[in-house]
Formats: sequence, structure tokens, C-alpha cells
Amino acid sequence: MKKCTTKKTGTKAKKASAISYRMKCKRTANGLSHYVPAEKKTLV
Amino acid sequence: MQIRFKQEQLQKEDIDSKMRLLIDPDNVFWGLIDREKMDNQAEEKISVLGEKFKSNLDQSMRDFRSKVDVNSVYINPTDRCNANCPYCYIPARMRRSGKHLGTDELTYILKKIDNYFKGSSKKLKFKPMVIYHGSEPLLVKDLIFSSIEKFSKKFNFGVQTNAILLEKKDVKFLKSQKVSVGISLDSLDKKVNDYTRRSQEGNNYDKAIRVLEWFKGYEGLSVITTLTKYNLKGLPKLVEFMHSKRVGCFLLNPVRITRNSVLRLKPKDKELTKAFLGAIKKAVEISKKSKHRIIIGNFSNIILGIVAPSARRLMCDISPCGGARCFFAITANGDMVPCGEFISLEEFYAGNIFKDSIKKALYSKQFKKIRSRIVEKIEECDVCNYRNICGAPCPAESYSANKDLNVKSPYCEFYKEIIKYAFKLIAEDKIKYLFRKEAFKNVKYEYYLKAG
Repeated sequence: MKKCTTKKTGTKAKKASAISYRMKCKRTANGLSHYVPAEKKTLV
Repeated sequence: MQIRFKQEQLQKEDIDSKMRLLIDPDNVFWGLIDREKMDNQAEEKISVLGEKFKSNLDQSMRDFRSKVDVNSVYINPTDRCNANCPYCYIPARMRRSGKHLGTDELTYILKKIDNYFKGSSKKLKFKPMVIYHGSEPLLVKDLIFSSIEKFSKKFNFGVQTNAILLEKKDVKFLKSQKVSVGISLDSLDKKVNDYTRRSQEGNNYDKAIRVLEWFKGYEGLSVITTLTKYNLKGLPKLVEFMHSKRVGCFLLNPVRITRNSVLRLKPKDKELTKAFLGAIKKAVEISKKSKHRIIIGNFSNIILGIVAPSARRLMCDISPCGGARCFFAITANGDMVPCGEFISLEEFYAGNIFKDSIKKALYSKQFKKIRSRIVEKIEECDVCNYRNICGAPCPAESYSANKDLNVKSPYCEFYKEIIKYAFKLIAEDKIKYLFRKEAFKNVKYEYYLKAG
């Protein structure tokens, strides 16, 4: 697999004719049904 | 359980008059094409990329969907509640006259959970989570607070509460212990809120508002608003309010129809979609201008389902869902159930924590049945391009209404519309406003294509 790269997200995607991406982020905390734990550096 | 993928070519779907989506519904590889740009090679570029990463993405999705990876346990320390919300999934007789756990019983349960994780072959990278849930856990406040102190090295703790019994000193304690706290508020209109969040004293609204001020800025606070046909009107103002209280995560959950009587509260799909998207637009608008983001957790989770599927946090929109797989629930009677939503469905009880092992419950036929409920078994979902983004929640809801787990979500049309909107926000590069600010500082990409 191609080595993953780091990019900034500030690019103006709306000007592109096509866009596709997959972020590599792991769940850093528990997966829950309706609850979000504290003090974790997570996306949500 | 082996999940068989269809191995189809990329599916094409027009999101609107300007945007075309190419998607592999099995592994959620996607590409968006601006139709106005007339780039004849765009589809080809996306197809080549999809083919290149297909095997990795298939494997990653298979692993994510099939793992039994328990990391959290919900405990109802009491079956009783001091409120009487009309949409509660816990039977009224249980809330009125159910039992409380005793100190020895709760200690026994926590030690058993700790031993389960110690003995598990899969070592967690973080402390497992115990969430005191309800009914109303603060009815036995002393019991749960002392357990939080006693077991703080073993578990991360959470408490989901209606906030009625929370006092200022309790908030101080919960913050000091870094406990995740979820409270409920359905509306800024006191009458509306206290209609769907009923209590004997009729002061649920006042209590929740007061508690939000005490928690202002606390990173571990989340607020749930249950969306019914009664509270759709004021959602943008509610988003503004939550932002002003610096609520870390705000969930706008459509009411779950886990009992027939709840059906009367269900909003119409179109009205729900309009109100929900209005709230999302408001959240984006606020987050753009402010240094504090307001995160609508369940929508951000849908976006994660598109851009980073295995990073999803909330496990309801995954198929199979997180119930009986990533977490399970224990009633005050000790019964082990796949998720709190199943408490009224005794046919899914999988033994009792005071008599049976956790492992036995996890591999019981009841829990396996929940894990075998996958979108591919649901006729409408099996051919839907979004099947692995929404996950057809929720099995308890499907079973309650139809006595059949393999039925699509009653909110199917709502999910389709909000997923389309999520793709629009991705195309407009606005999703950064829907996640924590620090989250995007060092994001890595498995692949990234931007053409034209």
C-alpha cells in the first residue's frame, strides 16, 4: 500500500472537478452507542 | 461471522444537478464529480483509484464490521426513574418499582468486568469504559460516586442523567474525576421540554439549564436532544444555546420507536430532515466564526462513516451495530442485554451477571443474533448505496415494531437525505467545521485525489 501522506485540509475542494479521499484516523477511545467520553483528542 | 461483499463496480448516483457520486457500497470508497466541469476523465481517475485500494478497503471494512471488541459496559445501577419521558425504552413498571443495586452487588459487577478485561486476549489500548445509565442513575448517587472513586484506576466512567438530582458539589466531583457526563434537554421552550421530559416536579427544564451553566466549558459534557414532532421548530436556537454553553458534543437523536406508543411522537421524515439540516447549517455557520466548535455528534459520525469509516465513535450507524459487540448493558437485576434499547425485549437477555460469565453472554445465541443482523439481510438496504454509512439503525427498533430484526430503519428516507448533505459538505470542504479543531492538525490520508 502506498505510504500515507499528510495534507492540510484547507484546499478548496469545491473548485475541483473530482475529489476522493480516505482519512487514516483510528478510534482513540471507546465506541459507544450514545455517549462521548471526555478528555480524548478525537474527531467527534 | 463472514460478511460477503458483492464485488460490484462503482455505483453512480446524482447527489444533485451539479454533483455525481461514485461509490463502492461495500467498502465506502467514494468519489465526487462536479458535473459542470465536464471533465471526461474524472470518472476514469476515480475508478482507477478505487480499484487500486479496493482490497485494502474491503479488508478494513470487513475487520471493522466483524470484530467482537467489547470496550464498554453500560450499567443501570437502578431500574427506577424520577422522570416519566413518553419515549423511554424502559418499561414503566420497571421504572416505577424496579430495584436498586446494593454496594456489594455493584462492587461484584465491577470486579467481574475488570476480571473479564484482564483475562481477555485482546488488550485494550485504553481503560475500558463503564457508563452509569438509566433509568436515572443519580437516584443512587452515593453508590455510583463511591464506585467511581474506588475504581478510577480500572475504568473511565460516564454518567447519563436527566440532571434533576445534580447539585453543584456533584458537578465539581464529576469534573474532578473526569467523568463523561451526558444530560438531556429537548427544547429551549420550557413547556415543550417538560412535555417530553416529564417529571413529578415538572422542573426538568430548569434543572437542566442550571446544570449546563455549572458544566460550561467542560470537555466531557455531551447533551442529547431527542427529536420528536414537538421540538423540531427551535433547533437552530438550541444549537446556538449549546454553543454559548460551550457544550463539547451535542447529539440530535431522532426518537427511537422501541414501543408502539412512541410512534405518536415520531416526526415526519421531511420535517425531521428539514429541521435537522437547519441545525447542521447553523452549527457550520457558528463554528466558522467562533473559536469554539459546536459538534453535532451523530452527524459528524455520519461524515466519519464516509471519510474514515473505521474511526466512527457512535456505534449505532454501523452494521452490525455496537450492541453485543462493542458494548452491552446490565440491568439493576443483573440481566445482561445487548444494549439498553433491548431492556423491554426479554428474549434478548443473555444471562445474569450474578450467575453467568460475561464471555458466556457475549457468545450466547441472543447476542450472536444481534451481531448477525447486517444490512445485507435487509431487502431494501442490500441494494442501497448508503448501506454501510447509515447501518440501518436500530435492531431493537426493528424488532419492537415487526418482531423481525431484518427490517430497514423507520428513518430510512431521513438518513438518505442527510448522507447526501454530508457529501455536499465534503465537496465544499466544510467538514472541518464539524469536528474538534485540534482533530485536523495532523490528519493522514490513505489516499487523496483532487482533479481539475
